[in-house]
Amino acid sequence: MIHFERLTGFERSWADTMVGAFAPASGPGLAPSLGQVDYVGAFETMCRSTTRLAAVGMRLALWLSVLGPLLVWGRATTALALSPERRAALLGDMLTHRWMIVRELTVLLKLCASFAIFRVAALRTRSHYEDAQDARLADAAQRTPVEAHDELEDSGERARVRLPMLAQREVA
Amino acid sequence: MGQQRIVDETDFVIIGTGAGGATAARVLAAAGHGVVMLEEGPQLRARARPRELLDSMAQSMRDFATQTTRGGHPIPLLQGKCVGGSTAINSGIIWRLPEDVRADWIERFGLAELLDAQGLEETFERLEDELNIHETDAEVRGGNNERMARGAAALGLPGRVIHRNTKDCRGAGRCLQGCPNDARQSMDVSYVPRAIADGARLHVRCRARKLLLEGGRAVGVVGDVLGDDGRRTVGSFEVRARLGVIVAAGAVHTPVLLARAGLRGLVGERFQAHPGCAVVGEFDEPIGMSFGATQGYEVPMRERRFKIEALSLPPETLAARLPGAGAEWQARLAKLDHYAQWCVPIRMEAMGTVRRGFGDVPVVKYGPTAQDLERAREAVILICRMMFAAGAREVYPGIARRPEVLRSVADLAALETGEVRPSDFHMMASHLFGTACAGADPQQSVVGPDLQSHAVGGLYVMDASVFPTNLGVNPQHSIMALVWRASERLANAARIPLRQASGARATLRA
Ligand SMILES: Cc1cc2nc3c(=O)[nH]c(=O)nc-3n(C[C@H](O)[C@H](O)[C@H](O)COP(=O)(O)OP(=O)(O)OC[C@H]3O[C@@H](n4cnc5c(N)ncnc54)[C@H](O)[C@@H]3O)c2cc1C
Ligand code: SF4
Repeated sequence: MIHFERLTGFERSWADTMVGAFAPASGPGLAPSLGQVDYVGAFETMCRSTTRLAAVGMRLALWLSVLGPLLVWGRATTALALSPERRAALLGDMLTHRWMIVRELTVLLKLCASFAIFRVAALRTRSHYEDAQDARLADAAQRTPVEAHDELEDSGERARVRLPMLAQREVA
Repeated sequence: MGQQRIVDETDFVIIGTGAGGATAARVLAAAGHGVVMLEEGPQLRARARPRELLDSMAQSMRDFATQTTRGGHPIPLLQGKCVGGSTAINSGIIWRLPEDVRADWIERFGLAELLDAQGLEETFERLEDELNIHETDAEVRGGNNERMARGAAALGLPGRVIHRNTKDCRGAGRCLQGCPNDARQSMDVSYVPRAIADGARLHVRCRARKLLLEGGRAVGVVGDVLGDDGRRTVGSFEVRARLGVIVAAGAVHTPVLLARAGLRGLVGERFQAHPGCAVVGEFDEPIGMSFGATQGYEVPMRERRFKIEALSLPPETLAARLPGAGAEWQARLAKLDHYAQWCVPIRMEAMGTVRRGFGDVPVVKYGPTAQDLERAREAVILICRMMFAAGAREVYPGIARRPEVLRSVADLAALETGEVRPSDFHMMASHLFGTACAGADPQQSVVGPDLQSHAVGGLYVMDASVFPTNLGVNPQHSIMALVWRASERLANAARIPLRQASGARATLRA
C-alpha cells in the first residue's frame, strides 16, 4: 500500500520551509522563533487523517509552492531560493491566483501553517485569541470561594462519573 | 497479536450513534428491547478532548473534513466520526421542523402519520425537556454573538438568540472540538449513556461493512474492528438482530451500506444540503471570540432561503480565513481577539447523488445552481452590511476574484456586479440529507412512513437520509423527532414485554 502521509526527506525539508513561509521568523506581528513550530508534524498529521485524495492534494500543494516562481511569476527558479519575504509574497500571490486549483491548494498549506502555529501555547497567548476566556476565568475565580478554585482552574475540564460505556468484550 | 472477533446478538442492531442512531437506541432500549449500537469512531471523554484543532479534528471529524463533493468545485462535507456522530462536534442549535416543510412532506411524500401535528408537537416537547433546550443564557452570549445582535438591530433585521441543547454552558466556545465541559447535550452525553443505562450495548471502532439478509429480511451486520488509529483493521464482528437492523450512518454513508445490500431505486439519489460560507470582520475594540456560546445569535431569512448565524471559530480556522501571507497576515494574527465571524447556511435547490465507489468509499456529486450562487452572493453582501453596521473597520467577504478587504459600505459595489462562479466561494456543508428518502410511494422513496425499507423487511433507516427535502433550518431536532416517533411505533409493534428482551452476549475472541 502507498503511504501518502510519509514524506521523503527532501519533502520534509520543503514542508518546513514552505509552510513556515506564511509566518517568517523575521516578520512583524506574530512571528514564531526558528524551530518553535513543528510544521512538518502538522503536515504529516493532516496527510494521515485526510482522505487519500486530499493527502495527494497536500503533496501536490507542496510541490506547486516550491515551483511557484516558475508557475506564477514565470521565473526559472524555485521558492527555496527566495528570501523569506519573497517567499511570503509568492504565497500571497498564489492565494489570489486566477486558477482555482492554485488558490485552493495554497489554502491547504495556509491551513496547515495555522494548525501548526496554534499548537504552540506561547503563540496562542501572543495572538490574544484567548484573552476573553482567560479574563472570564480570572473573574470567576475571584468571585468563587477558595475550595471551588481547583475545578475552575481546570478550565472547566471537570471529571465526571459515567456509566461504563463499552459493551463487555469477553475473551472466548 | 491475534485478530479480534466480536460476536453479539440482540433485538435491534443500530449502525451509527449520531442524532438518528442514538435517539432510536434511547427509545428502543427504554421500551425494553435489546439494542446493540455500532460506532465506527472512538468514544471521546470530555477531559481527553484536545483544545488544539489539529488534534481534535484528527480524533473526531471524518477524514479531517476532507471528504468533498466531486466536480469542478469540491465542497467539504463536515461529519463527526465518534460516539455521538456529528452531534458531538456541532454547535447545539435547535430548530423545530418548519411548518411549510411539514406540510410539503405530507402532501408530496405521504408522511401524514409520521408528522401528525399533535404527535410531533409532543415529541418536540419531550426532546426539549430531556435535552434541556433553551435560549442561550445572557451570561454566555459573548462578544461575537452580541456584535451580531447589534448589526442586525442596526439594519432592522429579524435577529434572535439561538436555542441550544446545553446544561451549564460556560461559554468555552469549543463546541467544534467537542465540549470540554459536557455541557452540550449531544448524543454521546445524553441518549447514548441513557440507552446504555437501559441495557443497550455499544461497540466502538466497529465499522459496518455489510448488512446480512436472509429470506428477504435484514438479520444482522458484519464489519471490521478498527485499531486505535481508526484506520487499521484489527479484527471483525458479526451482530445478529432478531427484530431489526437500523442503519443510521448519516446521509453520506447510509446509502453506501444500502447499495451494498443490493437496494436500488432512489438509494443515493436526492442528496441535498445547506452549504454555507462565512465572512470575517475586524473591529477596533476586542470582540473576544474565545468566550461565549459558539453559536448564540442568528438572523433567519427563511423567505430568502438562508439563515445568518454568528460562528466563533478556534484560532486555527479563524487565522486561515484572514487575508494575506507573511507580514500582512502576521500583523493580523497578533490581534485575533479583534475579529468577529458570521456564517450563512443556504437552503440550496441543488440536488446531487451519493454512489458507492471503489472500496465502498462514497462518491458525492453535487453542485450549486446559478440561483444558489446568487443567493450566496446576496447573503454575503448582507453579512458585510451587518458587519459595517456593527462597527467593523474592515470586512473580508471571502469571494474570490473580488477585493479581499472591504473598508466601507461603498466597497460592496465590487461584490454586487459580475458573474459569480462556484469556485468563487469557500463553501462547506454540514447539514446533509435525502439519500434514502421516506415516502408512502415506493417509486418515489426508499423507506416507508415507518422508516422501514420498501424492499427488505426488518431493515430501517433512521437518520438524516430519510428527509425528502432540505429544511432551511438546523436539522438535528427534526432528525431526532422523526426517529423518535418511528422508533416508538417500532417498539410497540415489536411488542416485547418491558425489559425482557435480549439475553444476548457479546464475545471477543483474541
Ligand atoms: C460541525 C457541525 C456543526 C453542526 N451544527 C449543527 C447545529 O448546531 N444544529 C443542528 O441542528 N445541526 C448541526 N449539524 C448537523 C447535525 O449534527 C447533523 O445533521 C446530524 O447529526 C445528522 O444526524 P445523523 O444521525 O444523520 O448522522 P450523524 O450524526 O453524522 O451520525 C452518523 C454516525 O454514523 C457513524 N457511521 C458512519 N458509517 C458507519 C459505519 N459504516 N459503521 C459504523 N458507524 C458508522 C458515524 O461515525 C457517525 O457517528 C452540524 C454538523 C456538523 C458536522
Ligand atoms: S460553548 Fe463551550 S461550554 Fe458551551 S456548549 Fe459549547 S463548548 Fe461547551
